[in-house]
Amino acid sequence: MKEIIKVENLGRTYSSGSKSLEVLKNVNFSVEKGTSISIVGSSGSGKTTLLGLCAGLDISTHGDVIIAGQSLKSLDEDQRASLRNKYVGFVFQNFQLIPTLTAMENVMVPLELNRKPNASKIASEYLEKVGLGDRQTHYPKQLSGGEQQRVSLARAFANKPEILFADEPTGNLDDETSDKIEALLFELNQKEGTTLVLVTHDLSLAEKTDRIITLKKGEIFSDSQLKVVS
Amino acid sequence: MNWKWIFNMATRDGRQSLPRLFLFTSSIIIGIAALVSISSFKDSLNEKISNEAKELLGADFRARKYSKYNEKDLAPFYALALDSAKERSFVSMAGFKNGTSSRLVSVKAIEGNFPFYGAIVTEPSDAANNYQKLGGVIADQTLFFQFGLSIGDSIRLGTKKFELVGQITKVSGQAGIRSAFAPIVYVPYNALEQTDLIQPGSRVLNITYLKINNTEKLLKTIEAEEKVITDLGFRIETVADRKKSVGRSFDNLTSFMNLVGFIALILGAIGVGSAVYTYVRSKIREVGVLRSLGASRNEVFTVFLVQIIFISIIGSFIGALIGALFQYFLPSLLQDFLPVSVDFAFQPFAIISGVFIGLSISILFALIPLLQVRNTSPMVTLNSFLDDPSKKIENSVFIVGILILLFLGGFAFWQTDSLMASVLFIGGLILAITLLWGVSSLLRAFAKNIVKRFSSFTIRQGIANLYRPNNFSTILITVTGLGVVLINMIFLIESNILNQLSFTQNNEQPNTILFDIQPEQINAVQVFVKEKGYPVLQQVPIVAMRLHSLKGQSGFEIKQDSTLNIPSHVVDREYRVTYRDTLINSEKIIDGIWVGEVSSITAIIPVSLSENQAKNMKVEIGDVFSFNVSGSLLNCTLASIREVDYTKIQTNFTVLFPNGVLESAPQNYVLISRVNSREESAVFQNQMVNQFPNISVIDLDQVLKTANDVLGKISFVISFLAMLCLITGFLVLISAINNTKYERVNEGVLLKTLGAVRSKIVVINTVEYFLIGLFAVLAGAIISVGCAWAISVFALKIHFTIAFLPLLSISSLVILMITLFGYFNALPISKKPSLSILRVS
Ligand SMILES: Nc1ncnc2c1ncn2[C@@H]1O[C@H](COP(=O)(O)OP(=O)(O)OP(=O)(O)O)[C@@H](O)[C@H]1O
Ligand SMILES: [Mg+2]
Repeated sequence: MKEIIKVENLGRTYSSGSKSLEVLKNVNFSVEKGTSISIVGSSGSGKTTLLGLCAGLDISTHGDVIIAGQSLKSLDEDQRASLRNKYVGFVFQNFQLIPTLTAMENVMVPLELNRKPNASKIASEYLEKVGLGDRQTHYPKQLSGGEQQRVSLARAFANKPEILFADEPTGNLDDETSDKIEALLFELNQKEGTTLVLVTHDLSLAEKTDRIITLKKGEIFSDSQLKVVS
Repeated sequence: MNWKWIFNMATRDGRQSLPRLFLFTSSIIIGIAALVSISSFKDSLNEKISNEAKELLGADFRARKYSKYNEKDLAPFYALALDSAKERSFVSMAGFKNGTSSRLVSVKAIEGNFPFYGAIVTEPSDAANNYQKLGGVIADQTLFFQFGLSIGDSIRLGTKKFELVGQITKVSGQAGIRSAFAPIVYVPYNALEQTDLIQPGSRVLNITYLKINNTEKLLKTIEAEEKVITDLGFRIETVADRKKSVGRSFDNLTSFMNLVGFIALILGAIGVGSAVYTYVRSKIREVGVLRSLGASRNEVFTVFLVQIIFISIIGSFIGALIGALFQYFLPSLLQDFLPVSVDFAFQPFAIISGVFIGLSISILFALIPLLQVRNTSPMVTLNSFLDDPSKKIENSVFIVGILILLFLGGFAFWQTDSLMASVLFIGGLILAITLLWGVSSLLRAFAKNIVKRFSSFTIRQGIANLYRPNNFSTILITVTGLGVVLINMIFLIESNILNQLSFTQNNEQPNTILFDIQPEQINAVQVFVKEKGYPVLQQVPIVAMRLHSLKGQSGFEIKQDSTLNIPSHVVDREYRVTYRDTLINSEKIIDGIWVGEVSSITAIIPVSLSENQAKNMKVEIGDVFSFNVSGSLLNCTLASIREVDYTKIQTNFTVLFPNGVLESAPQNYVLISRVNSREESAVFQNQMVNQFPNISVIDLDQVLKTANDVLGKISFVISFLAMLCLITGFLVLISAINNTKYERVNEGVLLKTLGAVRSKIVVINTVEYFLIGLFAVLAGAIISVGCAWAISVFALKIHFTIAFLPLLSISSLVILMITLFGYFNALPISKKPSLSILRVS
């Protein structure tokens, strides 16, 4: 199996003034294409920081992340952005839909950035898939939390990313809605063959992935394979 | 760059965001409107001056001299002329209503068909053509209004009574304001001698007007004859000269107006900048999302730039449209000062340049906050507490800052044509803004310190609003403060000038000046004045002369040699010189030695010059020059330089001769007295005119009143412009309120949810805006008093006192307005249902 993400010796130190805080140290792992992994750990253990680094949103202070054969360290801000656009999709805890755009337009953003023809056709297809075919012209504030997260799933998958990063995708939702979103997430992941990197507090959610990495104070505490991937 | 995406994004996002931003462009509208209307007016005026250039002069060629001359001196010009006219003009007293009223008028005696171009417009309309034939006079309509005259009444000039055959409503090429001090009376040339007004030593201007179609030949002749003519003491002028000098004086006026309009625009641009700042802050999350979805820094930045450009274009066009329409009213504001009538016209250049300037400055000021978009990390999408864009300031911000300075400087230079003036303008503006910024920061710090002293929750909350993060108080205080500074300064300076002029109110000071007194009359006049019970405060002989040569160079050579840097009026003007053996109390020798008496056989006369005159003539102690006194030359040397205090009412002289030289030259006397009241003054003037018709009386109280009127008109125009700055300030205020409304609504609703009563929310907001108003006014008052003091003392050299009344009324008005804004802004918030907090994302 091909490695799509390779994390080498990764470290991140925040410094404010004279104080410096080592949030991540010496993290090593790699993720194979098409698999799903979850990152768990207590609050403040560095999960979000790790996710940000893997997705190229942030820059490491030590080590490197290699995505689809590209070393993130060797790229500048804008090159990382275009790498994200080609290979990466996101689902965020607080949805992060653009409030001034309709559901449809939100889904179209990464497609148009990627200069895909038929952006609106693809977008409405995916809104259909997440069950919001009739809500295309609604603005985020006209949608419930669960609906907003479904739009954001459509936005993430419509661009056919190699890797999907999700930070607490159900963190802001009630149990019932969470279950629906989770089901949708794994269903789409399966169908599209996407690699999934999930950050969560929710162990029952984590258990649905192939592998769980546990962080503790910025270091990998355990790394357990749940399912054998063939 | 994915332009298609950028435009899609800009328009889609814009649908929701732009209405909010739009109010902000309103702050540049006023500035652009001001620039466009003033520039349009300037262009229309210049066009009119070009088109009616000939009417400004009334002829193609004019030669003037303060003494009688033989027309043969001008023979080379007469040879080209198709028509000619002569004029003699001087000021004199005129008597009305059978000697019961009188006033100073400007008498013009004309022979020939002058003006050749344009017209003297009279009522009845043929009076201007007939009065010479009829032997009557035509007079300015202000005289008719003042004394209730009608056609057929008589007017006495000197010893002769004339019949008024027409009233002048307009003289083409002359501004209405001209007649404020001495209204014009046209008399037939031949009748002048009968008035007995012209005596030896009288200050009479003799003019020859020629109509010459062949401009080329005229210019050649001028070139050939200029030296001879200048040496003979003529001042000559052609249509082009006149056009240039009229154009120049209005250029100064419109440039000044444009600078004030520009300040309004800069204030608006600061408003735009601060709007964009909050706009960008509210868009941080959106920026982060777009960046994490793969948009490059420049792409995201460009999305917002496109929006800002779009909105600035709309603002600029609205401004230009309003400006173009407003131009309609400007001529009527300035009517009295204009020599031509200016019509409404669309001036494409003014409109285009106004739009360009507004657009550029709005975009430049928006760029500073906008560039921070490039620094926003996509990590904001993951970290909900990461709210601020990086504190790091991009280098490009400094570049934009420099561009702004260059732009402002460039505009000032374009308007003033002077590096010095542009640097002063920009420096002053930056200084004022920095000071206001500083003062408002201090006041905010002060508010923070005293907030605990207040027990009332609402007041504490209102004060706290001033220094909490994300607020507009500094910008609002600065922008409205600058408007207040400008308006205050205008009022302060105007009131100080008027104070200075109202010296006559002081019982010690002279208020009546008698001049054109013949030597043989002086004793009789003295006796007459004393008989009437008034003092003779001063009595001086005056001799008229012209500068003939300076350090060996003739007047003509001095004018030709531009490297000398001597203003041409030094050569052209007629000097009114006196002689005495002692200095008076308004004078002080600052260089050289005062010589009060010479024997008549002295070859070189030691004279004293005022400081300014010496500076203009570029002479030092010991330098030589000569004066021409009715044909005879007096060789002089500079013996002393005097500092003269012109603020004292006295006859002050730039050139002062010692006793022993001028006693036998043609001369007349000036006598200064004090008359107790306006009524007495009117009676005294009548008695003077009846007894001594050739002597003119200047009533300083009357002059003061006229000056008051003229100054009032000027300051109205300036205050009007300053008002634009204040209105801009208010627009920034409204849009700032509108822009923070979303936050404030949430807060207000939150407070309500927490149990605050509606009225409390209103009070909190009102207190906050009251304080903003108060601080703006305080900061503005401090700075304006400082600036007005500096201008009065150093530039105008007058005494400075603070005029509290206008200051207080302007201040209270501004505070009231701003407080009202705060109040009305809070009303809708207080009405929002508490439930809405659950819905705001
Ligand atoms: N920009 C920053 N500056 C300083 N410290 C930071 C910054 N971002 C994160 N941290 C710190 O790094 C540590 C790890 O943060 P991170 O957000 O990765 O934790 P987390 O595991 O995602 O926690 P949670 O489960 O609460 O979301 C925390 O202590 C946090 O305060
Ligand atoms: Mg986290």
